[in-house]
Amino acid sequence: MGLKHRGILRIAYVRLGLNDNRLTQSLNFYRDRFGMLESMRDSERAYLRCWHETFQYNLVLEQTAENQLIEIGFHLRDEEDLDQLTDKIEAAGIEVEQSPANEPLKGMGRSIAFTIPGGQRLRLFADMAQSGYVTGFESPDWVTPRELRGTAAPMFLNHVGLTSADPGATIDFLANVLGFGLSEKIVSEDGKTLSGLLFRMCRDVGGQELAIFPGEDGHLHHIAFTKEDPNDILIIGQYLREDGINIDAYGPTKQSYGNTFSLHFFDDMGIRLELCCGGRNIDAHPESEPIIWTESELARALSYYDSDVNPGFLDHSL
Amino acid sequence: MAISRFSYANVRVMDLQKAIIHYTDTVGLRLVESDDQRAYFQADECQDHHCVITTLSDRAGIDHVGFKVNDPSDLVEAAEAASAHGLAVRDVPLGEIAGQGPGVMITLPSEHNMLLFYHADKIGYAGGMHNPVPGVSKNKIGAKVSHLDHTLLSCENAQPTVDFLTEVFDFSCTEKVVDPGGNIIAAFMSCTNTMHDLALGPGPNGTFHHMAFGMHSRGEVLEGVDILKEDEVPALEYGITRHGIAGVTTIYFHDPSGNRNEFYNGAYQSPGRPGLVPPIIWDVENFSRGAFYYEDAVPPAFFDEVT
Amino acid sequence: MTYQVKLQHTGQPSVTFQCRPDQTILQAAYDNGYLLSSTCLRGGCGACRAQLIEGAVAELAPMSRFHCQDPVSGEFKYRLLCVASVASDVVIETDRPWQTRRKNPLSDRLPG
Repeated sequence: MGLKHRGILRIAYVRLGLNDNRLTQSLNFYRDRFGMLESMRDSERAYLRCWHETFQYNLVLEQTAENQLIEIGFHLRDEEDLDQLTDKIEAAGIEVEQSPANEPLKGMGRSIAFTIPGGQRLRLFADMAQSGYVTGFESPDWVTPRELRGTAAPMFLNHVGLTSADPGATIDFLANVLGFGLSEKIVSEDGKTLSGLLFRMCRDVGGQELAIFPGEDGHLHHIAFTKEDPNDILIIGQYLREDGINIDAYGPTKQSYGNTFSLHFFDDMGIRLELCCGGRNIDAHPESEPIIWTESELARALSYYDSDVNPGFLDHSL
Repeated sequence: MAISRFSYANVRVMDLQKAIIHYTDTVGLRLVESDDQRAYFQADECQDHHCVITTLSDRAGIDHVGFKVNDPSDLVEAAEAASAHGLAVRDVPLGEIAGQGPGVMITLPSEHNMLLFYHADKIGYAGGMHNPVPGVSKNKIGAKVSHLDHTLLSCENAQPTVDFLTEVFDFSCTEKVVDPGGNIIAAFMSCTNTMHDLALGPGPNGTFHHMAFGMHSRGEVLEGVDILKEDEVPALEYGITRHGIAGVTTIYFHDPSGNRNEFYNGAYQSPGRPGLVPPIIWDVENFSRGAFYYEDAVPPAFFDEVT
Repeated sequence: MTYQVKLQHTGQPSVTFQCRPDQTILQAAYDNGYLLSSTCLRGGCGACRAQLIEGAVAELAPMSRFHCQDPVSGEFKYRLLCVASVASDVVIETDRPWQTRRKNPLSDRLPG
């Protein structure tokens, strides 16, 4: 029976390793100032989720000797998908590491992890425990919880930006092996793919779960979270500034590339974060056509409201 | 593979010219093509041929809803599955509906016609496909609708349709309203990552409650209300409000044949395997807050009057 | 030129008012302080359906056939007052009760 949404169905979490004794600094940022909910904590890790999420975590923080992006987690439909994707990834010549349930992360079914051509690690799994909606399942008030008001209080993890020395090869792998679609791309004047926005989740609003930018392999460019609309983002920007948080030189802007309204800023470790809303409307269909940008239009693509590219914006942040 | 999009609604109208003026000048859709029987419209931020068809008729209401599948073989499979479920199925040949490939029309237990198809002709985003203009042009006419988001169809008993959509077409039920006996009064069904693509509410079988147009911000919904007022479009008594169910900013209004439309903004996402996250349950006691969050009351006409 | 409209509904005292042929019966009722059940105001939803007892009405815009029919027998039974006007004096039985509205709510608050 084929009429099923298969494969990767949601971007689940980002796992960061931070040189942060007892995770004090990062928990202070992500829980208390950024406004995520702490679902679990053990001696090694803190598991945080966005308030509109039922699944246990969208961000996993753990203490490591050096700051690093450990992995990005994607939720599959079922175990059958896990087996099929394992075969496809191995057939592409990429080594796949198998992990039993609850390892390395709690609340997760058995999983596979592998390194994509851009050097970052992805983990795929079919099961994740749910904390339940913080607003409850019975006649809820879908309103930002009182204790989070005045923080960024993101609703969902939206997408993750990565840097890659060969963006074209990374994009090809994500599309051909993992089944991502391309909603937008930036090409050089001679037609080389420099950047792409990839989406997978039968998604008709959004258009990106992974954004690939040119740069050093293995790094994180930014992590983006969902807000309801631009007005929210403008108001949250006030809270961030009042709180002394370092806001990117672009300030709030319309990102033509991806069709979002966005605000970029940095956590206490220097990791670039984004609050965004809107997005490109596209569906997970073989005939969907990507928007194509040429590099000469980069300034307008990255920020419609600013007159030139903010050079620092192209750097990875972890 | 699967149903990948709620693609369009084909609504019946009693005056085609008035419908064209409404859906372009007021709602802000692009008129793609028309003849003396039908007009085809698309929102600015969709690349397919149409999201609304208006068909000349002697009554208002819904002719059919169109959903796109992302594998041509899905059509055969869907037709077989629907037939096995005892539903009426007919082939819709190429050319019967402009701008799309052949499809299969399935009559749901709720007596609504649902057309599945694979191919849509491309007209591109209004801002273009190459180095596009991201904002809204100063010459933009009508409201700033981004896309057709969802529809609410009315029927006497939603349960068999909910069962069919979940079991056969892989929809998830994100929220539902139930009576004290546990019977479904309304169900919000998703085949994408959003909160609902197709909702079912109470009313005579085969009738149309509304179709909703998505916007990028609450500010655009407010501007949309101003346009409705200036154009003297009849709107529901409560004006702009918020649905407690889904938590979105919204206004309902009517096209020139009385078909209900909605402008709406919200960011509720529900990706993942259908059925994995249990549905939110609204009981009758809290339904008024669920329907109209600020007012905490439901105007009698809200479910009584459908087209 | 105007014609007389007599509205009746079981359990409510009937009322009469004048209606011009270029306005809807719903609008004329409103202008005279009677708020009829209505929703779409475009002849589509049937909230304002009523039976014509005597006289003749005119259609200023099309009425949805679905809501003009008796839901059980399917016979043509109702007129939709949001798009219907008068072609003679008429007597009309509304399907739903009407409410009254104050025409001059500010003036009414003046003493005396």
